[in-house]
Formats: sequence, C-alpha cells, structure tokens
Amino acid sequence: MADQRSSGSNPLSSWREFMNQSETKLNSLFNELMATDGYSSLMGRLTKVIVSMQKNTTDGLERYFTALSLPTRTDVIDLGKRLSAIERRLVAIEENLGKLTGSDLSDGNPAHAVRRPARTRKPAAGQGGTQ
Amino acid sequence: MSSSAATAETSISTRVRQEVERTIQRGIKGLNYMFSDDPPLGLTPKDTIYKRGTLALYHYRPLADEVYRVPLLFVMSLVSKPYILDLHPGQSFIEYLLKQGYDVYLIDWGVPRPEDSHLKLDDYVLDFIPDCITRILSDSGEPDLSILGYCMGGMLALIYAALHADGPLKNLICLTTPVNYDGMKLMRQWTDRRYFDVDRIVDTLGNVPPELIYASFDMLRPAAKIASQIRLWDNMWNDDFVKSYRMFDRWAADQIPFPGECFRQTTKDLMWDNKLYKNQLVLGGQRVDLKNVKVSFIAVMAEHDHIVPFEAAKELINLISSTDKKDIILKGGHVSLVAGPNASRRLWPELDRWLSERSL
Repeated sequence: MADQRSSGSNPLSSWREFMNQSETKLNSLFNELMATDGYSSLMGRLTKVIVSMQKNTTDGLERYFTALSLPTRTDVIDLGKRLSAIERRLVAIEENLGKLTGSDLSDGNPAHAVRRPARTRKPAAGQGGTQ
Repeated sequence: MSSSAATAETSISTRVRQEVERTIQRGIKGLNYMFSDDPPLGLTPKDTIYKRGTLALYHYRPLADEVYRVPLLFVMSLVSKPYILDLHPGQSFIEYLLKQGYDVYLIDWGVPRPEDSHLKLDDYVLDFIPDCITRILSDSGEPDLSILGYCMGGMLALIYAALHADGPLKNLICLTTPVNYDGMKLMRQWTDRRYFDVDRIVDTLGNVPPELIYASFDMLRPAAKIASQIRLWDNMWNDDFVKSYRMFDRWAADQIPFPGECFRQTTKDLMWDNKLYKNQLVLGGQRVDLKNVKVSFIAVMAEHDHIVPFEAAKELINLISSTDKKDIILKGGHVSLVAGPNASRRLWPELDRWLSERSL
C-alpha cells in the first residue's frame, strides 16, 4: 500500500517490515526443509495412506449401496458418460439444424452477433511494439 | 521548544490519531467483512458460442467501435478458473483488451466431472483447442487468430502451435509458461518418482481433487497464508485493499479438479522426464517439436513467480524457430503479473503495444 510505503515515521512500519522479512525467511526455511528426500518420502507415504483409506472406504460403500440396490458412484459416473454422449449428439443436431435453417441455434442468445464492429482498427501512431 | 521538536510532536500525535482511527475502522469493517459476500467476478458481458461437455467457448461483446482484424483467443490453465483474467470492471484484463479494440474469445474448461478423468493432453491439444479455433474462425469470418495462454494454458497453446505449424495461428503469447520442468524444483522434488505414486492416486481417485492442488500451491509459500491474514487485518480500514484481497483470495481458493489421466501424463512425461523441453513428448502419435513454432511470439515471465519459477520458463524463447520473437520479465508474481493494479500498469499496455501491430 502506498500509505505504508510513505510511512517512514509510522510506529508500526518497523513491525510491518519485520513481518515481511519474517515471511520471506520462513518461506525460505520451509522450502529448504521441503526440498529434502526425507520430506518427499514422508509426503509420499502419507499420500499412500490417505489414498488407500479412500479406496477402502469407496469399495466398502460400493458394496453397501449395491446390497441396498442403490446407485453407486461407479453407476453415477457411467450415467454421466451416457449423458455426455447424449449432450454431444444434441449439440451436433442443433448445429446441423442451424445450418439447414440458416440460424445459430447453438447459442440460443439472440443478442449474440447483433453488434459486429468493423475489423479495421489500426494501432495508434507510435504504439506498435518492436521486435 | 524548538520548531523541529514541535513538528515531531505534531507528527507523532497525527500518527497516533490515525492509528486509533484505523483501529476503530478495523473493528467496524472487520465485522462487515465477516458478514458480507465476496464481490461479483467475471462480469464483462459475453456470449457462449459453443459448449461441449464442461467446455464453454465465450465470445466477449466488443467495447470498441472498431476492432482489430485478428481475433484473440485466451487459453486458460486446467487447474484454475478463468475469471482471474476478468476480475472486476476496471480491474479486468479482458475488459482492457476489449476497450483497446480486440475481438476476444476465451476457452473455459469448466469443472471436470468424474467421467472426464480419461482426458489427456492429447484431447486438449489435438481436439478441444482446434475445435474451438474452427468455431472462432467461422464466427469471426477471419482466416487466422492470435492465442494468449496463461500458465498451463500457455503450455497447451505452445504444444498446439508446434503440432499445427500450418494452421491458422498468427501470434502466440505465453504468460508464465513452464517449459523446462527441471526448473520447478520443489514441485519436482515432491513428485519424485521414488516416493510419489501417481498411478495409485489416479487409479483410486480418478480426477485429482482440487484440495490437493490448492495445498501443493500453498506449500510453495507456507508462511504466506498467515502473513496475508495479518496483512488483511492491518489493512482492514482500507476498502480497496479488502476488495482486492477478497477477489484474489476467492480465486486462489477456487481450484478445480485436475483430470486424472492428464495429471498422470503431466507427472510422468513432463515432471519426471521433462519431455517437452527435450522435444520427446508424443501426443496422438506425433512428436511435439517446439522448433515447429514459427509464428510471431512473445513470452512474459514474472520476476517473483513461485509457481512457475523463472528457471522453468526462461528457455522457451530459445526452443522455438520464430524469427519475430521476444521475451520479457516483469516485476510481480504468478498472479499479480496478469491481474491487479500492477498488471494494469505493466503487462496490459506492454501486450497491447506488441499485439496491436500484429493484429492487422
């Protein structure tokens, strides 16, 4: 903030400066720690545990829902895939209909394509960049 | 009492009064902060001209009476939402370009669904981007276009350019685009193949959860979160600061899942084997040779980018064959390069100067 930059005699400016420096130092310190094989190994093991727990939970719930004749996550994903395929076909049909009728049905927004400025703009004198 | 001593006393009393006023304001506005909504984002008027699954292709409504001939397409990263480029009226990169006379389109990848976990880089570069480009050329009636890619979006645009050397691309702008993954030291260390079981993650979870992406970005600067909270409290009296903080904080926390197969491919081919940099990446049976990029090109890097460090982006310009090429380094970080007050003073006018004469 400009206000902070111009506040040389501000009683809190030295505290702010201290905080900025502390943040930089802490980030560097943590980054050094996190750049070690030990940290990567620990995070890798932790991720494996979390992912394994997630898998066990998912598998357990799948069996539970199946036993109750309820749709599982896999069923919902399969349904999503089929819906996506239907969506794609609908878009294609809309486009073909649009071509046949000469109108744009894919948008559905009549405001679109209303204003089309001329594509004749030139850069202001002296504005162009150089290589 | 001397005049200098009197001045010092007045100055101190002014400061004390100011701090007392700010402390009161912090209390009042702090309460308001807790009970009010985030400011609305991404408000620049646009039309969705194409939808495909979660993908939406936007065409922004022109804000100038006359536009440059060549349309401009924004390609966003796969893990972030695109409204960082259109934060708020007066602080929107897209709005700025529209006012400068560009005809702007943007690919919004949307939020991948579980059934999208099979998507790979191949799908984005060989199918989605070319498909959108075909529609832009049809919509604009022009034979060519410029592409601006941000972060991983820059990498997608770059690969597209390399694989479509005879395509309609006229100008390519890559912002904070990683190309040499050896330069992403921390990320590379964390995904070390000895410890990081990417297959288990993708096979189990499908798409990589946004929390994991958010946490990994956060860990790059572990003290930043707490420091930013303290800074927010310190500046709670300042409405502009608070508004800006809320916009950036909302965007940073608004991560989206990473399509699983794409994550596997990015980890193995890019993070582990650095294949893009070595010209060994193969997509859809075609080798991605960056020497095939011959269009007018500009790369912009941020001096203090902690997500895509300078070392990961700096060699891009040397890997392509364009004769009209340039790279620049601007002050700022990964996000402040493209959004916020500094971006509006540094990057936006710089890009306008470069692109305007190449958009005729």
